[in-house]
Amino acid sequence: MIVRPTTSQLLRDVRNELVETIAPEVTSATAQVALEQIDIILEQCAVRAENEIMWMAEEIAEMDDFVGRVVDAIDDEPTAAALRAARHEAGGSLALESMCDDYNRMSEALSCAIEACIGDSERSELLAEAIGVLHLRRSDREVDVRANWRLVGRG
Amino acid sequence: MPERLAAFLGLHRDDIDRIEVLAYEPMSGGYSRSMASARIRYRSGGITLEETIVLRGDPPPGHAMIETDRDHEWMVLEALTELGAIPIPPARHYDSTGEHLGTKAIVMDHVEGGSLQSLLDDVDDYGEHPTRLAQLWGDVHAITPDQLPSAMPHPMSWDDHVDGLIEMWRTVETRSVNSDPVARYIAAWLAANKPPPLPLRLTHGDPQAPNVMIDSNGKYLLVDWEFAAIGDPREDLGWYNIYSSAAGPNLYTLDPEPFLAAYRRSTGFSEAAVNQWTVGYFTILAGIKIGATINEQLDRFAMGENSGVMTAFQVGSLCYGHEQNLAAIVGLQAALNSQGATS
Repeated sequence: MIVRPTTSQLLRDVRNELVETIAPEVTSATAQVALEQIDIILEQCAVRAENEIMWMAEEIAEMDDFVGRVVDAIDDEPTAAALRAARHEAGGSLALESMCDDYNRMSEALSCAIEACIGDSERSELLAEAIGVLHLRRSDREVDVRANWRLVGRG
Repeated sequence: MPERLAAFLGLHRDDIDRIEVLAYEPMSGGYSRSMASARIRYRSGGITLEETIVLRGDPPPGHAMIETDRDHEWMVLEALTELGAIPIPPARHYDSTGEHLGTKAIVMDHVEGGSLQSLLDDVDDYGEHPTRLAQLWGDVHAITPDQLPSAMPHPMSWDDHVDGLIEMWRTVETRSVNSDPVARYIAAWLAANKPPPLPLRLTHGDPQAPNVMIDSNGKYLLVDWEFAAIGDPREDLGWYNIYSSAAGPNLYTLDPEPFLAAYRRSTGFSEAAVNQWTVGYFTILAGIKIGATINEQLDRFAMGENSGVMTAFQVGSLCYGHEQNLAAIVGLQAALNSQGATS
């Protein structure tokens, strides 16, 4: 397959065409808002196309490691069951749909681990680590995915 | 549409005749409903008059970013009009079946002055607006459940209501096509740290500067009542806070204490119940009310049951919510820890 220009490059070229050529011709206020939103969505797609498989693979491994240590440290059956399911049902493919399923199952295991740790002072270090995973991986990467997002067209 | 609108107005206004729709134009500015303004001309008592009206209707099926109920909104508008305690633009007519206007639609007066958001965007000095806005939210929260239609859901108690909102964080996540540990963490944290209760009151549900219109006399008029409900008043303060953080200026965070003092004066609520910590708590909690419907529409999008740029655009809203809510919990938990350390 032709891999270059990459998907991101193609999407950003479409963005550029929309902004430079199409947008100046558009006079309707509602269409202008839609174009601005399309521009933001295209940039978000470009960021995801560049990174999302790699990010999910990294986070799956990280969540697996963390939840595994939670299961070793505490006796919490929902967490252990969710981790078993995530590992047992993992497709292990890099195909996007399969990766999304693997990511969702391992995320469920992380959710169970968080719920098992919250409100128990003896598990506060594990909880702090889980929150670190949420911040450093999921949330910070979502800031990248959000790209140039803003609430356009309100007012 | 102009002909249908003229015919619809003719059905409702026997005091006028020769109704013409001179201009009809879709309006931007609303994310949830389809809005349009129409310039109409008519004869009344032998005199020719013109006015502008606004139509607020449902988008085409399968293209809604948020699903809300027009019957509910009309019921709230009728109740508020009767009470007369909150300034709203007069709501004139309702096509409750869509048979006349093509979709369920509310016809209301147009406000000439523009929105508070537009005004704030154009000035550097916000003057009295922070205090006035706090008082406006206070006016809404003076309306007690017994003043509202019995058809509106009336929570059994504050605990039932707040527990229900916390549970929404869980159920929205559980039903979603996405597994979301951030939502589950938020739900668990909210359940572990409930604030002192307040009496349940009318809540607007989507309080933000674009929903405050300013008429030609400078008077505030509150619009977009589709999310109105009976709840904890601080839900509105919280939603205002998170919305205005995304699309500023945020007249609360600008200087929180005078804002809260004005609100407490207006409502009579105590400082123990209304303070920066509790507003922070409700900033997180209240996000699920609109977050739930955004999530639902994005799920339908993922399953091929919905579409539209406006819906796709909301992926960014959810990402923004994650970031803001996690940061808020860090701050609120630090305050709790420091309180625990000193007590």
